[in-house]
Amino acid sequence: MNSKARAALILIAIAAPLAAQVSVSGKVTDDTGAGIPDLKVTLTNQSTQVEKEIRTTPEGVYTIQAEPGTYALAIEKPGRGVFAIRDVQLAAGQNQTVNFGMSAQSDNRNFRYMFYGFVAAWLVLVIYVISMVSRENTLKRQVENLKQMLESEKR
Amino acid sequence: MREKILYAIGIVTGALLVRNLYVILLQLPDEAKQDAIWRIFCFHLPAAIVSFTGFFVALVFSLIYLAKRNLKWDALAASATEVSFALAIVTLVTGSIWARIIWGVWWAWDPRLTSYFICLLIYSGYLMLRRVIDEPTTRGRLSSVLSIFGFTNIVIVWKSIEWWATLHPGPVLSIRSGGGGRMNPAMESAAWWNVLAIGLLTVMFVAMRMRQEDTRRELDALRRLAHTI
Amino acid sequence: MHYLRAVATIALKDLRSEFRSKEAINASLSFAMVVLLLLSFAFDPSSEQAREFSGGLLWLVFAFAGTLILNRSFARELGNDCLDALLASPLPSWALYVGKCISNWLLLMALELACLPVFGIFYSIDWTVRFDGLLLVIGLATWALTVIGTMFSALTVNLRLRELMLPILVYPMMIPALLGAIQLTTDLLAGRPLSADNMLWLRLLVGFDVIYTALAVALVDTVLIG
Repeated sequence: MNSKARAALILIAIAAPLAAQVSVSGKVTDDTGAGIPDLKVTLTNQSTQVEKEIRTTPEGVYTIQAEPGTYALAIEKPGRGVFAIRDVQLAAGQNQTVNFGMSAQSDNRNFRYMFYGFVAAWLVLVIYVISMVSRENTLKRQVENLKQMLESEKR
Repeated sequence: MREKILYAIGIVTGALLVRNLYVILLQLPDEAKQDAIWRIFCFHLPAAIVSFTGFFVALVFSLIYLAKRNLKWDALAASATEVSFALAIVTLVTGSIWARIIWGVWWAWDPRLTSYFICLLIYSGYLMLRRVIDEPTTRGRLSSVLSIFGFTNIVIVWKSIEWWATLHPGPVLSIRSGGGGRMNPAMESAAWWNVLAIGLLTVMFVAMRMRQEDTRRELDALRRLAHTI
Repeated sequence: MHYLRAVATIALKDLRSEFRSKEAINASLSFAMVVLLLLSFAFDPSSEQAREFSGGLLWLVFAFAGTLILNRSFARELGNDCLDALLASPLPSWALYVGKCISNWLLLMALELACLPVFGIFYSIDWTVRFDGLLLVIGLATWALTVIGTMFSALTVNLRLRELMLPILVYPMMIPALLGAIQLTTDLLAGRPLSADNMLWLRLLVGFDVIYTALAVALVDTVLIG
């Protein structure tokens, strides 16, 4: 094999996976339609669990290159948790566009819902205790009534 | 004496809960993937574990009742089931709020959620059955049988995350094999402390509920007396 | 041998009295037709999607119509104190229970096999493609429904509000078996064979049958006599 052919083979070997890659891109916007900058965008390959990470541009746009396969696409604000996760199927030769719209309040949403969860848990237990105590009081009253009735009956 | 023990447990439980809330809310940071909402787990998992344990204990009491035919065991089984039922609702409600953030929906028809919902329906049937039977020994006998039948479904719920592909997160605790220990140890220990707190709370509730059973038995006796007159 | 004869006697007795009056089987058959008809209003029966939930439809019909037969299996012994007489007879209560299960299972199978062709015509579904597999699934799932239905019929027989309590107790208990039956039936009606993909559901169905039959046989004495 001469050196030219070998170089061509190496070139093919390097280029082949590159050529097979497709891109996922999109824009993350808030309520007003403006892009949200500096969000963390993670593309996770579902079979290998390999992650690719990128930040959105000042215009809220992101683009990630990946090989065809099944992925989970997650948008996160660093330190504030996951905003959204979508399943993405990448087919060979087809670029995908996935846009996200998120409410301006979603920043505080996580904390608010955590609070709701705590309150709801205790509310259920408090309601249960109240119903338990009230039922016991009803029963006690019934016992008292019956006792009085039997007492008067005896007399 | 019983009252005093009850108060002592109450004080310990209260102190534990305050300590746990302090640790969960102020000491532990937000989780990397789930942010603040992960803290719901600290109530969701303990409520689930304690309710499962409660249903199991109720099954054991039911079996003892069937063997010994002493109404005390039936009262214990009924109390344990009722308190566990309340905790099961806590599990469902907290899980639902968590799912709203993480999955984007309040409810998903996923094997674990569905089987858990079935269990709730079965045990609500148990509680209803107890109300329609007036005769104490028949009530104890039939509800004990239903408790045995109902518990088989708890096993399905428990194993559902291994048998089917579910949305519900797999085992994250270090005691379970298969992907165990994936949780941050500090966060896991917070959840375990809450298991202890909610467990003690349950013991207290069951003791409170037992007083109601005593009153009910007194009422039954008085009614029988009134009948004879 | 002695017990087998007792079981057969009870089963034959129930079948004979059912064939004389034909009350339960007629009622449940017409009820099944009503449910089949009602379900056709809920969605477009001729659409492609109908194929995807055909198993669910079929089992809803079977469960609703079947419990009509099952619910009555102990309640109908109340008249003339037949139940007391049966319990006082030398036959063990588990034999009574198993005998009733067998007769109920046969009646339910007859009902379901009668419904299948009608279902096929109304919903344009070819149920003959994998009939052997379908028969196995229907047999197993019907036994599951029978075991639960007959057991709870015995449990609620002396209750006031019996008619109200039965569905509340019976349907949730049946759900795991119904779920398995629905998945398998949908697969079979779509022409997919029983294979490794749906083996989990078949295992669930068999497990359900074995566990609940054992539990019911062990506990029926407690329920009926005390």
